[in-house]
Amino acid sequence: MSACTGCADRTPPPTNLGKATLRVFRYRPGGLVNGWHDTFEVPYGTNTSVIDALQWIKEHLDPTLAFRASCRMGICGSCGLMIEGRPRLACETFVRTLGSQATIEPLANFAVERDLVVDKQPFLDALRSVRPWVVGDDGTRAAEPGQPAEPAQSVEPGRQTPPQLMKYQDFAQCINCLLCYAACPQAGFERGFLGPAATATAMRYNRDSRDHGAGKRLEVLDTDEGIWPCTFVGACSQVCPKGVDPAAAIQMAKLIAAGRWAKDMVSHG
Amino acid sequence: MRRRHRTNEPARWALFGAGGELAAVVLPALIIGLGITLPLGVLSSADRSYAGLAAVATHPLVAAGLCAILGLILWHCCHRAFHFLHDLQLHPPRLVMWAVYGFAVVVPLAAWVLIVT
Ligand code: SF4
Ligand code: FES
Repeated sequence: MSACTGCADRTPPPTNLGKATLRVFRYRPGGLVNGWHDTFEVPYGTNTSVIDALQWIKEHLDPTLAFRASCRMGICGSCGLMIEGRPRLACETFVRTLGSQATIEPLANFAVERDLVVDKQPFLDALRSVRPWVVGDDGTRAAEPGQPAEPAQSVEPGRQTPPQLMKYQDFAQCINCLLCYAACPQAGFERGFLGPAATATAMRYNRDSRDHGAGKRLEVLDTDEGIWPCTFVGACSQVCPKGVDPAAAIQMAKLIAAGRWAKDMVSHG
Repeated sequence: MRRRHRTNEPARWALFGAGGELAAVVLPALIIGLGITLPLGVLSSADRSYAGLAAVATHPLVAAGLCAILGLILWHCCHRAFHFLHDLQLHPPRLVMWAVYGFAVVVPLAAWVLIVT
């Protein structure tokens, strides 16, 4: 029996392209300086990603370098960095596409914990505040933020047609990589801003035919820290590696809020 | 828990959106029609069309419609200008907000009054 030759046989061997210079941002909490850049020379080939390069630095030059990564294939969303000033996924950015001296920094608009690692807690709070789950019609699944969700009463599977799925599928592609926050000027001005990805996730559930949580979510969206700091710059949608279009989600939420405002005016005078 | 402040921003934004639509769709038509083709006498003699149009446009109801359309476009500009202050990281007192949006209300109203009196 002949063995499967597999994909590996067909993949061309990586070509060595020489050495690249990376200027990497460094920071130590409680240190006397506010951060500095270290310069490293890194060998790279056709398929060396920025994450591979950082890992090489960690293994060969400086074991104290801190950065986040997990899947290395654009799925987990943990490797977002400012690469040459632009928010990008480090695992999807190849060293060969960068300039001869590339600067690697932590995501903008977040507090730095150490080197390239930022504090994601403000985003996690924002995300939780929009109830990022399917809220059932009996309300039992609608756990308050911070409380464990009660088990669903209904054992019926929530069936959907393909058109119903398509209504929210794009927004469901978000991997919480936070590139959109790093690109958003308003996220920089307004630290409490709910922001693009949390709003896209709110709209993902609002547009889900099984969900009954839109009213509760609107209480969070329609506030001066919710959707309204957004002035439709659109940078979030430009940098999103998953084509989520969070800017469109925010505009949809604004339309819903305006509709509710008009309804309130009519019913309450 | 996040702070929650409801605002009247939905109403201001809805008028901003309406003004933006009008600025994109109606304003070019008005400019091409009333500002270029008619004065150049493309469709008919410029003198005759001016007299006819002036009679129509100064009718109180038509004037009200025109002032509303142009007023919404002005509202659009004022809303954008006010948010530009935020982009510049300026946080002006509420009075400035009233002045900016008030301008967008008073100017079309005054224009209408001037037309009909
Ligand atoms: S919306 Fe796009 S850029 Fe923002 S967190 Fe989700 S995947 Fe990343
Ligand atoms: S390491 Fe998972 S997205 Fe880059």
